[in-house]
Amino acid sequence: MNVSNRKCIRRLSIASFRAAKIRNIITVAAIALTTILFTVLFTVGMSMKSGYEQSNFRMVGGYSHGSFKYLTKEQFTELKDDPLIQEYGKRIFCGMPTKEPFQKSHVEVSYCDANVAKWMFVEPKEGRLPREGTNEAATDEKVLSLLGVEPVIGNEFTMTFTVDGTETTETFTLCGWWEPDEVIPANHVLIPESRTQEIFQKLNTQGKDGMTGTLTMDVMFKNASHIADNMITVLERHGYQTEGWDQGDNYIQIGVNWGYTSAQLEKSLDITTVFALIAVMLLIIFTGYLIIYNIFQISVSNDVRFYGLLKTIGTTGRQIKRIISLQAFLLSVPGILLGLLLGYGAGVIMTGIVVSQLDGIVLTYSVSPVIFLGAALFSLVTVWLSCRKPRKMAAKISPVEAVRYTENNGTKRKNRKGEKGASIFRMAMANLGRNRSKTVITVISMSFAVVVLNLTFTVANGFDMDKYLSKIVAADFIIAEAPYFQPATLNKVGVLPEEAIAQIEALDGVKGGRTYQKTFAANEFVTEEWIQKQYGRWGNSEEVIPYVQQLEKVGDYYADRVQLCGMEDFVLDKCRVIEGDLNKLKEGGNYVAAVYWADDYGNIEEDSHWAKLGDQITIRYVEEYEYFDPDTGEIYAEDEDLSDKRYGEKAKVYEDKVYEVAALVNVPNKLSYRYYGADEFVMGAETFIRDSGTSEVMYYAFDCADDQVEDMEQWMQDFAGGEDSPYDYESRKKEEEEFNDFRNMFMMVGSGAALIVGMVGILNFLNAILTAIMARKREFAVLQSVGMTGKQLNKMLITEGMVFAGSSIVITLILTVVMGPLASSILEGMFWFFSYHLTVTPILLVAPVFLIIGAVIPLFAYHYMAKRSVVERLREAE
Amino acid sequence: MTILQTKDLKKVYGSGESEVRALDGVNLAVEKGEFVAIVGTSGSGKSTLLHMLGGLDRPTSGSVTVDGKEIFTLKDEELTIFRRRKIGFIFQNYNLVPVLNVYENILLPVQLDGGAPDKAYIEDIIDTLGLSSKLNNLSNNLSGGQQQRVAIARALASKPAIILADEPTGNLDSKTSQDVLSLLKVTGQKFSQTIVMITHNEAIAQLADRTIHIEDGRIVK
Amino acid sequence: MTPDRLSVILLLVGICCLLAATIIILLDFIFRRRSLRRMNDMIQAAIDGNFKADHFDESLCASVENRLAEYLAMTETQMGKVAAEQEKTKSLIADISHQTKTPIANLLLYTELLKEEEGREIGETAALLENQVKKLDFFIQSLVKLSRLETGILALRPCKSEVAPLLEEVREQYAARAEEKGIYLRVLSEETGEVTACFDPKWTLEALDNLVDNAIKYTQTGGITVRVKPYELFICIEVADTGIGVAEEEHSKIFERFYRSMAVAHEHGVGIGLYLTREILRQESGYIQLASKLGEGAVFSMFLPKD
Repeated sequence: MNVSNRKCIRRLSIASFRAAKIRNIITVAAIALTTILFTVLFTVGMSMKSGYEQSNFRMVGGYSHGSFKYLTKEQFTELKDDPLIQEYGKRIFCGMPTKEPFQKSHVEVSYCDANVAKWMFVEPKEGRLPREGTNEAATDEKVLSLLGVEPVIGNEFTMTFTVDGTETTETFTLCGWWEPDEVIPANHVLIPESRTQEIFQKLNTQGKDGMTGTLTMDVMFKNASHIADNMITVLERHGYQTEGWDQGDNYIQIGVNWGYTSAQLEKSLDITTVFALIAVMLLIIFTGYLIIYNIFQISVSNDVRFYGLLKTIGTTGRQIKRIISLQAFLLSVPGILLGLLLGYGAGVIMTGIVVSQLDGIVLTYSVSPVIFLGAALFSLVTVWLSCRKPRKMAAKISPVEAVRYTENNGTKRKNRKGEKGASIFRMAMANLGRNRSKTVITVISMSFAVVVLNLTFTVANGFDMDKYLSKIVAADFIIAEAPYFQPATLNKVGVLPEEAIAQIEALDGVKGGRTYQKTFAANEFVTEEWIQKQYGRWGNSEEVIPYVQQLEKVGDYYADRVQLCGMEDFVLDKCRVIEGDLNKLKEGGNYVAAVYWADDYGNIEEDSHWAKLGDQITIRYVEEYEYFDPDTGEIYAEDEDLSDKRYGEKAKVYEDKVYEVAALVNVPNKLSYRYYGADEFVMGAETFIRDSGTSEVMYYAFDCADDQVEDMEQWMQDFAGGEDSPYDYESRKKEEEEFNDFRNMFMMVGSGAALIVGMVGILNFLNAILTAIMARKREFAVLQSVGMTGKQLNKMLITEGMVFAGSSIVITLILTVVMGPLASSILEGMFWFFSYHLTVTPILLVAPVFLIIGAVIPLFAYHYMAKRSVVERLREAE
Repeated sequence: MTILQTKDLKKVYGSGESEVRALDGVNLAVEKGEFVAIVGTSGSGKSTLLHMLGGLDRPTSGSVTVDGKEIFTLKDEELTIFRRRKIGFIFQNYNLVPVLNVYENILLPVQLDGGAPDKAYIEDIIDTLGLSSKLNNLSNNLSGGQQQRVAIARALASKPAIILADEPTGNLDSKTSQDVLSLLKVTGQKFSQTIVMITHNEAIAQLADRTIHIEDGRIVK
Repeated sequence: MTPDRLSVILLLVGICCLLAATIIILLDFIFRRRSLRRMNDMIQAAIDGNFKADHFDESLCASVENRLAEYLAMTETQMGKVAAEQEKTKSLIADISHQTKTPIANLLLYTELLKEEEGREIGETAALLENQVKKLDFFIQSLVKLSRLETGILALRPCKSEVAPLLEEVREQYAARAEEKGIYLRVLSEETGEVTACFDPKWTLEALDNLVDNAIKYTQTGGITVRVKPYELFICIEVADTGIGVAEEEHSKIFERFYRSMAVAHEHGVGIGLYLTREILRQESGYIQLASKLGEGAVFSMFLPKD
């Protein structure tokens, strides 16, 4: 049994807590700052995670964890009650319309229960889901507009759709509608289950496609981790498997919603991301630790006599520890609450900034409790870590020592050399030396802020727009059909019509050229060795053997796909000639240029193409292929169904053309196909049109006079920038904006970090100076009594502040200069458009601020202290 | 020659009911070279008197003249400078500056005044007080007696017109006390210093040339 | 920027610089004048003999003023010392004439008597004569010691010596006298052990002799205790008696030269012993302290530095 002394301890800690107002304010601010940092991190992280998931869900078309597919009614009933399944939804696919006006749209007619509708984002905005036993249906505005029906509840609409291969025309009464989401690939018409059964019966549906008439069960588990395992477990419990049809009749297909990042994370845990996250967390903990630890350490040193007294009257070390813990906790409550509040606000803003820079993520603001619980927990951990050592120190104080305790007992110095006597400066220096660790921590935390700031500026400054633009921007403007600009669209279908080009060329000062794209089949002849090398570059070299088997062998060579394009002179001039002369291409004739790749830094990759200058190469224009079995080499019959067989291609009707490689070039990314995959040759436009017989324009690139750029930008915006325009364009200005956006984001995030770290630093500084002054109140009174004037005292305090500020700046300068080369190489490795310049401007800008703070804070503190007379202060603590 | 004189010195704390007359018309004159002890019980007003004499606190009325200067006509900053030039203090709890070593502590008032220390004189003081071997020590590594000896040296260093000692042995055991007092007396003799010492201890007061008793803020004999 | 505008700006800058320079020179001149005038005033005041340091700020002028005040005070002290020295000599002469008047007159008288009354009661007169001569001799000897001490002809040579022998000496010297007077003399030399201090043994013995001599003189009952108290830096030789004691008002006066308390006017003495003792100790970097109340005995403590 313990004596009940908790109350007493609590009273003690509250009493001593009240006595340290300034410390409390600073501590709360520090804890709040730490919490802000954590909250921002969590908010951005969670928001991005959920935003990423949201965009994935919308692409997938739903956010249920997974689905069991093609179930019979019996299977459905059997599975739905599994204890692992938290929630389930039922869906019965009925049919899809294919005819006018739906030939371009993907519309599904099906029954969905309320859960599924919710999970698939198809909950009616107006009205409700269809009722059983009625002819009601719910759908989205797009379907309605295609049908030409007003979105008014009660309107009737009729549509024709295919059910299991049989067409049917049905009429429904609109009972609810919603706005379709552009991202969601499919549109839905929801009908009651009873209606599906009617249709199946009417059409005598057999379910030949293995789909129609079956049930799909969408499920939600407790949480999004181990979805696949959970589903398999559910199946196994009921005696089913999902290995495959050939494994038995008890096969049930499952689908895991890949929209859950956690589901993806399980598959490939991204080590670098995890590492980066941990590093950021540690950084925040360290920053918070720096200041909170410092405050508690100082406050314990100040209260040493108090703790000594407590010990003398019989307080145990454990109780003293509890007093400090309790105080820390009391300070954490307001600090964390404040931090969560401010942090969430800042986090929301940051999320906006960050998401706007990223493609393919929906802007969502997560309100997950994880944010608040996580941030609060981490802050508490930081506080706990921070007051561990001070707590230990306080608990260890021996009552006898405590009375004699002065701050520099820690340094255990006995002597100080020097017979010059005490100048104000030397005294200030000696004062800083009293508690070296405190001084060092303060200086480090201040320097840290400046280093972060300087780094941000260095990076943002080093983002070399010229370097960026000169590489990125090949021409003032590039116009093409919109898909050309979409990343990684493999099948280019867009052809820029001549009318559009004509309109542009009609404008003043425009000088440009077309590039024609390859829309036909063409082969080049390469060695097996080369193919293997290429495979090693792009994929798994083990797959190369089956691939080679599928190629036609002509002599020692294999006929492989080749990429071709035809460029007009203007575009050719934009290409970088590595070797040779492009003029031959411009003149027409059988000349080509082999396209070599370059890395981001412009270094040509020597082995990115096999063709050398002066080589004679053959291009085979293929009009018709025939197919053969790669194992036997036998040619398949023309009408043979190849869908489940391996086959190789062999040119049947073709024309071979021989060209001389007149140049080796590097095509700027913006002027290229923008994807890789095959060896590429560039031809002159004339030659291309002559030999291929096609003239489909991939894009039109042009420059205009410098003083017309603005007008042209406006014109292009009107002409090709609109949402409804089939074209899109890129321009130097757009790139500049993009570049600036990126740089601004970097500046913003970096400055934000620097600001917060800087605040921590200044708080630390404030704390160090204030506590040092408060602790030395009496000493100052002594100094004044032996004749130190207020001015001299101020001078000493200001010197102390200046030394703090000055040494932080000097350390930062040294760090910046010394670390410069290292930072340079790292950053240049990270951003190809980075040129390192040694920047110390931010340091020099911050320096006066620091120095002013260094001077002003002591002045204020002195002013506050000087309100009480020397005698009063002398008497104190006597 | 009178070096220190007070005229009808009064100090009143509070007002009305809670009025406390810490000093109630003190008239006092100290001759140059004299060693005067002011004896009184705690609360008698002796500390207040000493603070007034040293210009640490301002009186409610009356005047203090040190070396011919009426000190309370000076402004605060001037008073501080006057203090470091004319008055040496020795406190009960030594009040040395912990970050400075012994030598720096001794020189502090001289250097605060921007003056070059009189080396021979300072060395003489250090020698007399037996501090030669401790010059590089930090003050809080010294014993109480040693610290008070440093304080005496500090008080002497600026060749003040008068040394004010406030219970200089209050924190010391009786043996050490005797040593410190002996040193105070001997150095006072040697350097012809005027010393005003307050104490509650009659025995210590015997050291002085003259003892002044103070009770309830008045000098009684 | 046109060249015209540039030259105008340059001209303006030049004028500003010139103006600034003029102002600075003017200000400097004014300040220097003021400082010089102040110094002049100070020196004038010093000549007039009414100089006082009046300014207490961080300015150099105030510092100079203070230094001057210090210097003046020092010269004044030295002048004072010379004056005091002269005064001392004067008073010494007066004292000598006063103190020697009686014994010399008496000597003359007794000599006359001896001349007139030949053969009659020579023994008695001779004894009286002897007494007066002795008294004169003591006085002259004291004076000689004192003057030698004061003028520094005879410098004290303090050196580290044991204290115990000092006490032994005193015991030997005064044991008989005390016994004669019927009082005790406890010299606790055994307790002293091997305590050493820094003193001139011959003169310190003289000082101690004076104290013990006085104690015996003024003690009728009880006795005298001599003991040594060692401290860390000082040793204290304490002479405690149970005699008539000293009134508090007289505590510092009895150490003055030729001061004789009214209470002991009937006793022999010239009022020079305690003064001599104090001087001896002062020259040894020690001091003497008295604790006593009238009628309650007295404790004289000699403090000598240990090193």
